[in-house]
Amino acid sequence: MLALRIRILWHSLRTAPFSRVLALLLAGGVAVLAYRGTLWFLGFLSGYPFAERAVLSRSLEGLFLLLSAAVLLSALPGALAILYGSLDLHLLLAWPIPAGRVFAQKVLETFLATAGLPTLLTLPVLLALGVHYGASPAYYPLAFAAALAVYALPVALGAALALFFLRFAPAGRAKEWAAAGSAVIGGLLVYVLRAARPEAIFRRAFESPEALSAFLAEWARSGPSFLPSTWAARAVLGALSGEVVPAAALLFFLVAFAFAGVAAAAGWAYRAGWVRGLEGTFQERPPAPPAPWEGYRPLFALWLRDLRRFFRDPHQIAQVLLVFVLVLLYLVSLRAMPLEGLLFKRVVGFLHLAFQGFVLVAVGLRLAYPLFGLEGRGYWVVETAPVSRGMLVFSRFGFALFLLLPLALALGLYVPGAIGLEGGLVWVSLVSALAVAVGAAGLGVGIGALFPAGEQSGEVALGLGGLLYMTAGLLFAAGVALLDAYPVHRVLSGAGFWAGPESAVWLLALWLLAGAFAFLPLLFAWRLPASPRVG
Amino acid sequence: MIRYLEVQKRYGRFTALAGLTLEVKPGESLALLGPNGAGKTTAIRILTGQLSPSAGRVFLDGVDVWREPVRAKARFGYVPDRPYLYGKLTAVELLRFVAGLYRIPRPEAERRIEEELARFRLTRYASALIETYSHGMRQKLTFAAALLPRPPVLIVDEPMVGLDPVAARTVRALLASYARPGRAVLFSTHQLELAESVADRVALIHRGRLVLLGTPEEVRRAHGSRNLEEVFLRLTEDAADARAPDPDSLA
Repeated sequence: MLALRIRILWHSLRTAPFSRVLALLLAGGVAVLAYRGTLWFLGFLSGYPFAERAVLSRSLEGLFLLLSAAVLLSALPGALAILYGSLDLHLLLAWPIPAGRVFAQKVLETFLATAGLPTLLTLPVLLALGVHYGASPAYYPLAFAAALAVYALPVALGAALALFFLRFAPAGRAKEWAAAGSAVIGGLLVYVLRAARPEAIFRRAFESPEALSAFLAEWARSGPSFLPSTWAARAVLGALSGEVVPAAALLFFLVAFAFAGVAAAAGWAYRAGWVRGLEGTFQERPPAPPAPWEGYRPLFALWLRDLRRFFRDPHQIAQVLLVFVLVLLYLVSLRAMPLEGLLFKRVVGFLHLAFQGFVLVAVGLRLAYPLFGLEGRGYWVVETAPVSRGMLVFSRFGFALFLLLPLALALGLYVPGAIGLEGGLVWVSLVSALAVAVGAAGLGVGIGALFPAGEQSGEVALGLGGLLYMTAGLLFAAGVALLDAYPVHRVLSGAGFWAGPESAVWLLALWLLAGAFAFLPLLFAWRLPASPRVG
Repeated sequence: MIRYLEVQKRYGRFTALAGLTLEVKPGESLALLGPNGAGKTTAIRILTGQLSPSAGRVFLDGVDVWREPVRAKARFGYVPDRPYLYGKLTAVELLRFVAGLYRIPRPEAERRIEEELARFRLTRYASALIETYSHGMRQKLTFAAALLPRPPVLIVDEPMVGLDPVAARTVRALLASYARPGRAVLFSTHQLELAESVADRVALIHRGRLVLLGTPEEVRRAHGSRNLEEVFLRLTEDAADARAPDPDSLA
């Protein structure tokens, strides 16, 4: 069966070599960046030997915890789709292959689909760690195995939760309940991370170097020992010193047990008929009268359809909820930071200016980029209707703006107020946020129309289009941050900004940049049509 | 109403359509026949603006489909071979959406929606989400959506797939009666008996080329056959595969 999968992968590579090779190159670029970045960080850290071990340990734990949380979020819908909803499952089970093997393969596929990218991001980090500390050859397999194991656990947990939803969700609603469950789990994870109160570190006053050393030693030891991310970090650090720590053995044993258990339970549940949770129900409902806002013109009809589809899709609701929770967390964290003194406020304000661009671009990956791909296999309805390609592209752009602008307002207007920045920087923040929202919406819709995402939101970040969007989006956000540096510099140096002519030049440069990133992809999408038909 | 002029479609070295020239006149119903992979769906997708031709031109009611796509698309209703629709809309919402795309005024749209739902017996389920519909119900809804703008040309790719007997009879009657002066129907099918009973003319496409065109009667007479099936088997290479296998060889 594995040979069959590899052959399928090979054929897909052969049939679309350009996009696959480009995706591989981009993934390779990200891996090189992660490797070089880690080496730089470790070099920097070695300048502070008293804190090196503590920071390294907690950074590794944090990396594993954060990526495990991301894996868990996509593992639940991923397991439902792959483990129980695969189109080839009926065929595989009808072949003379033991059912256990079929489900073991499906669990492995779920792992590759949901934990593949985090694993690919982690391996260069671990490689750089080994190279920096001159680790023995035994370090590499052990550290890599620890990374695989720590991401395998949330996959197993997601598969087990999927089983729960299959059994107890109303018939035909398992996917929706699972998506809602993902959002709740995501919110809880964020809350757990928040509960660690990282700002507390800023509030400590260290009277002496000894007090700082004692704090760092305590901080290094105080990782929650019940979390697999802590075990994995200890396994990696142990491997660096050439030893196999008990935490590693515990992690590997738990993963083997969880994977075998989940595969066996999935096989049993499938044959016992629990998959009824994926089947639809059929209800009589006579036609409802038209709503007063019902659109009988193309543009309104398209927007109303998009609104209905978007807000009835649990995957999209889950994305919006998650974004809401993350923004709330960001706001609460900023409010909790001890920003004493105007200079500190301004520095944090500038960091916020840079950060809000990256946040908006990242949210655009989830809310703007998939809008064209969501047309999916129903695209023929609009493709064969008397609607121009331009209207399709630009109506999607309008919808993306509708989704991104509230976030831009929250970040650009509310956050500076919460920090307590003065008026001039608030306006810089607001105008920048709006420009990034326009740029991210156009970029997302344009690239999404040229390289459509799959209908499942979990597939978004894995495709060529997702990688292209993120690469271009990060460049765009970095460009906006660079432009923002000028007004911030003027305000910091005590000179006025908005009164002078340079503000007009800055505004022009900002909107030219946003316009270029928004409208060039939209124009390409308009002129070089590619069908978003999926599957 | 429909005119293909030397239409070609190539995918690399593979030629799906090799210079198709074909016309469907007003008041006519034409059935496209051919074995799997012959080029029927390709021809229909080029006509409906989903697939651009490598060469040649396609006209619909006098409008070049690829030069004035929006004008051309306002002139036909289309039913694809697989009825993929938006699962998160209800049937009535989908029909209102289609009415919006075709700029049908509200009172007229509501009247037609009621008619189409009744015609395809979907009224009782009109406000249920489409994702809960069976394949046959989706196919019926696709027909309702295609007929809503009252298009001069109806294009149907494999009309009978998944339909229950009542709906199949409705569609058969529709295909037979829709073509009248000022209107035309083009449909592809593997059901030769349907083509024989409903279509004014049949066109057989094989390996991307038009190999036969005429009324069912003319075709039968020209080939000295009792029915279209015999002609079909004779003209396509699948004839060899279609011969009944020797039971001994199966054993």
